[in-house]
Amino acid sequence: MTLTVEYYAILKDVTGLSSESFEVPDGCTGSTLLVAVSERYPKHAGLVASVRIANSESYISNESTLEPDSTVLLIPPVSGG
Amino acid sequence: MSITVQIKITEDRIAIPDLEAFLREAEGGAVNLFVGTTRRVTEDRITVELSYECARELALAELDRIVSEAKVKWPILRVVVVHRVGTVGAGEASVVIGVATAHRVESFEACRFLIDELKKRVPIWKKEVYEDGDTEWVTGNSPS
Repeated sequence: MTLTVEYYAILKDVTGLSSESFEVPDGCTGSTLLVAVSERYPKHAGLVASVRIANSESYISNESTLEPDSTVLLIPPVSGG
Repeated sequence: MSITVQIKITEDRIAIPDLEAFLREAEGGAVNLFVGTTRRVTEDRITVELSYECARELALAELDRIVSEAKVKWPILRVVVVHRVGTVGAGEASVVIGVATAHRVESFEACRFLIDELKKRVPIWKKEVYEDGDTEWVTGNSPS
């Protein structure tokens, strides 16, 4: 199945992208997706390990199964205020 | 029923007097207003501006949740949460939190809770733009 992954802040800077597609096995969890992202950006694996995943409504657990064709937001540590 | 909550993420300067007036209309006994401003000097570096980015839809949803949690904990009459994004000059307000309640203690506590949770959980990021042209993302908190 295909997922759209959105990058923000420092992750957007280091990838040079605001979003891109990932082809992953059906039943893929958040953790599995993060491994795939780390493999595409091995230099930034530490950064990828620090993100929380979310959909547009809420944070989701790394153990949750991702829906086919869904959009997953990678949220680096936040620094608002 | 009148509107009692204002939650906004905006590119514009924050009109603090309007927010304060909105809170005062609650006719409680206390209005507590927190204004977060962009810091010009951090250690020995001079910041000329900060650049804020957000994941807007999620940020608004998370702010809604934080406000709902505060309303369960304290008897809030009115509440405002406004965060700026885009370029914010040094010394300007980047975030304003305001709470109107009947008594001062709960307005202080709710205001503190709202800003602390915002900083922990809401997907907003700031990048320092220094005098010498260098830029740097501010080290953040992992949302739990």
